[in-house]
Amino acid sequence: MANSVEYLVREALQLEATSRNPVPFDGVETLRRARRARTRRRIAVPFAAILAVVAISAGAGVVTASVERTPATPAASATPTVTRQHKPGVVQVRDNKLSTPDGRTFTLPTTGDSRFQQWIRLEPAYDGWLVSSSVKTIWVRSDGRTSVVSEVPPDDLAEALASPDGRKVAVTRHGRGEDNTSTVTVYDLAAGTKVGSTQLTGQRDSEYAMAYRWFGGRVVLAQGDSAPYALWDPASGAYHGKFTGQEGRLAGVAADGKRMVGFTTTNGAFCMGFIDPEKDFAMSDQKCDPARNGRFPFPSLSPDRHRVAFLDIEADAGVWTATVDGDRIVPDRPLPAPKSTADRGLVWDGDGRVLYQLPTFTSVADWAACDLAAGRCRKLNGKIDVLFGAQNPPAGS
Amino acid sequence: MTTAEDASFVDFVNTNSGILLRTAGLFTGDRSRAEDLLQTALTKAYLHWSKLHEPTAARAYVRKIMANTATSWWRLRSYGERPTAVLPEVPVPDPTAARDERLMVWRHLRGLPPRQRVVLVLRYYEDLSEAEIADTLGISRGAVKSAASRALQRLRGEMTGSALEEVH
Repeated sequence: MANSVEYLVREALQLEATSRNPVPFDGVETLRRARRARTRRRIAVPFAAILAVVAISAGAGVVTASVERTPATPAASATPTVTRQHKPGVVQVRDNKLSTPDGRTFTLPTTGDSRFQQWIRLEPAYDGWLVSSSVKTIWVRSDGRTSVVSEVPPDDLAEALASPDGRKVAVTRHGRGEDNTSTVTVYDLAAGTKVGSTQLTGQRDSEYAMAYRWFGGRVVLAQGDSAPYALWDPASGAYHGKFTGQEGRLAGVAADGKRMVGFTTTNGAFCMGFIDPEKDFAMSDQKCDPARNGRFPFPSLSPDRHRVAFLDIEADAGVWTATVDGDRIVPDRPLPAPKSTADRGLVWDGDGRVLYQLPTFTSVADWAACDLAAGRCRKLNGKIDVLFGAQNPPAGS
Repeated sequence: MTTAEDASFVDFVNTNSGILLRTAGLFTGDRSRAEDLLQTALTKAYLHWSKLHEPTAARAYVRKIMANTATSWWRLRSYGERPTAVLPEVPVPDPTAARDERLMVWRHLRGLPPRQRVVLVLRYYEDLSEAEIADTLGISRGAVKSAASRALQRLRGEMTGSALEEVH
């Protein structure tokens, strides 16, 4: 049986490759594009930084003034369309509209990417939410005003990561067609100021360094989203150690606030545990699970930090969870969850459910919601671009 | 970069882009994304072209960039954000049973997670060894073996009871 599968795979790949009959690239045209990318690289970082600073200073926040005293006036933003209708239970973006649990709906601007017209990331932020596409991040305020926090040219990439309290945002910018250099800049949304910036060179081919998680006021930088890690303080610019050599992913900051919960895969062995960014991300109190060896799931910590859920896009099981009890991590019983190939991670809602995207071949997706208490999963109604389980935005609302 | 190096780059693209585009197509499962992937890889290769003299080494380098890009760079864009105007490719039934069989396998291959698909393409289309794949992807041999094993296991499960049984 195994041999026949391998034989069929080989045959299928050969057939598919030959049936494509692609038109080769024109060397001169490719050279011209490469030169243009190289030229753009020289100006891309300053351009992006200027754009963000302009956006921040002009609207996404008022420099040196806190929002408590001086509400920010958005620059690039549009008059919001606000309507009240259903209560979805989670914050979500659907059909270019952001809907909140209390029934408000805000019409969003375009994603800034003509080829990919869906928003792909949604996070609670100070007095609202951050909504991101591959090239643009907007700050949607609780009253519906929107401001551009970051925007890069269509061929580049930008990712925004809000701090746990939502007051700060770390923006990673990376130019497509460049080498592995990327820039991470942290802004204080509440104060409307730039906190710090660093330029990084990725260690692996085509995997650029990025702001991956927050740890207190510092940022965990990672190569891709699968380690190795380094800890960076945007305020002082100091690094705590260099990039480590481990592989794994971090779920979030543990309840004690001193360590992070995550997993590593050393030689394929899957071990969950507590990872200390102050000690070169060493793992302690680990729990290895041979049944998960070779897995590389997307972990997410529950809002109360007592449970971690894993979305495994390579396993038939789909989703499993573990309980974080003090210094112990104990795997729970497997959840009968539908499988997913969408590597977008999962989110928790305020009712102890985990939600994740089901496989899709269209521009928008079905989402599944798993009730951990009941041990049951079901499909959510309607197609959703992205959602976040926070019931309310953080401070400032 | 010198004019001679530019000329060498142009020559490399003219000679190798067809082959590389086929591999990119297998990595992505989509023609336009394959072109995007190759353009990105060639642009990155151009930045280091002065160090890439030998065509075989350059091809391996571009393939390495494509493999890693296919499993990481596209993470943001690969699922749930496809252009709405373009429908996914759907295999068309062929009167020849063997061709149908392979189209079905290809459909299942396209459904694999990116890293598993890339590992299978490198193993069974590019004929790389486990060690070479590990080096290409920057992962351990164990991880390559594990990814390939899981991919084949998954394909086996999805094909059980269908054309697979007819092979032997």
